[in-house]
Amino acid sequence: MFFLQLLIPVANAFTETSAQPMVESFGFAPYDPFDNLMRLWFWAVLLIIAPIVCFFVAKSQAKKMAVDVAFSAMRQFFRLLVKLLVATFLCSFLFIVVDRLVDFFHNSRSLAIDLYDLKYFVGRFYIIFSTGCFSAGAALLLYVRKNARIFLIAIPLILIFVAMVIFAFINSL
Amino acid sequence: MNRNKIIGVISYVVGILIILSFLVSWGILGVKGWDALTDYLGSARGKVEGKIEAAVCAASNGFFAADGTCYKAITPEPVNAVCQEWGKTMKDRKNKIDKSVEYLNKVITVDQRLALDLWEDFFAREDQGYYAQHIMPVWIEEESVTVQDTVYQVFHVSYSVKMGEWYYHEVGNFNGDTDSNLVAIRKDQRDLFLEALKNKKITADQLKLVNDKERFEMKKKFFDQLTDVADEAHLLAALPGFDGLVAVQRYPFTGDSLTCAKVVSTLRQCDPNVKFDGLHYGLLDYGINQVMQGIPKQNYSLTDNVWFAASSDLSTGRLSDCHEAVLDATSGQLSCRPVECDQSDWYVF
Repeated sequence: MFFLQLLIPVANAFTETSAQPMVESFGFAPYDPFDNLMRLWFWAVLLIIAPIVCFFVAKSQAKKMAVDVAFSAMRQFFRLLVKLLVATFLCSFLFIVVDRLVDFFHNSRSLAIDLYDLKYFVGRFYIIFSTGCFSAGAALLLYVRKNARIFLIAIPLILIFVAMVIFAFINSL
Repeated sequence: MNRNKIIGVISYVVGILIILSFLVSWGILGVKGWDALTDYLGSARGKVEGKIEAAVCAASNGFFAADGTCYKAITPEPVNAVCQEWGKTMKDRKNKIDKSVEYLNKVITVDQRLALDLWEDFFAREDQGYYAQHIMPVWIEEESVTVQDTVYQVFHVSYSVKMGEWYYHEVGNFNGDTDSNLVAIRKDQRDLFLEALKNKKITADQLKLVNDKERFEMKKKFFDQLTDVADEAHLLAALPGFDGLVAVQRYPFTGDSLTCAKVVSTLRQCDPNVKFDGLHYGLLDYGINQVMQGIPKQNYSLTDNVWFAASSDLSTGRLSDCHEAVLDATSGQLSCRPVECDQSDWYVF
């Protein structure tokens, strides 16, 4: 609990709602420090956990590709994509589990997942997946010097992140 | 260097840059988080220190306020000391007013002088003794105002007042509550009108005060653009032969017989620790009430909505049982109501 108390001001520092009540669609809701804690937790998964995991997943595959002169780019790309999907899904699952447990224990909400929750989790997964791909793309780029064909796999991964940024930008307009 | 090598080097650099971008974002996250954490730990330490200060304050018969200050009970200053201070404030104001008049006389243009003379003469003609004794014009300014697609040139007048031993600077001004002191003329008639003033073809004696019906018509016409002049102006007249008006809003307070000692000692009947902070008034209501009730001009009350207020709190040496005292300048009645002593408490969550 002490650790959580220390984290609350840290979480508040990353949000605009730290000192004011949050405005929700149905009116004013009292400020809840756990809302900001959950935002911080998402940021941690998005920017730290998923990118690091994906970086090392991509790095291990790139090592193998670097010595294999005649690998099939398409095959290797899909293999890596499946690995990244699994890795980021696990990261997202970790995020979702903590998020749901906090909702259950702290906000006394049911553990059942409705359509709204599902859309929320899919959205979160896509964002986490895209930063994972960006990080994996970076790992592959480091090995292009050893085998130029790795470039063909790195570019689509980076483009997934670029597509997400463009989508988020259009969505914010 | 062959093509593959070039792609390799560029990719390597881009890869490093992407990794760096992650590192920078972690750095920003870390710095922001660290700042918040140290702030939090600092405030937690502050709370402990606050508890110690509060205990020390209580031990010395003080009151530890929410703003972190230790307040002690103070014996109120004698009335004459308060009024001596008040006298200094009034003297400062008088100096300020004198300097303003001096400056106005130095910078006023010929056109402004003509408009101001008309306004002054109109006011003085209607309220002879009052104007001479109390009113001191300190500024005049011309601006264009569009009223229902017609452009008017408006000369706004600002004045200060002297009421017995009280001085108020710029009470009749064009930014505050008393903004209905002006001479307005349709823009295309401006030069002709000023020429007429110069040649004495128009004088204040020719101005005829509006009756209730005319006032209502003016209200319809000038509402909004001339800030409800018809509601507020005590004296109002149309310009003969021209499209325009002259408006005077009288300062609603005659404090000639009210001395500082009288006011302060009355307020102290509520609570000896109240701090006297001057005169307050609600001028807008004053004008509107007169017009809405159709009270003839000669019955306009000059003390409506004017009051002296004072309150006690921790800073005035009252640690509990604080009050707000209000002395109504019209009825002379004193009201007294309890208030929170620790005002800073309102802002601390």
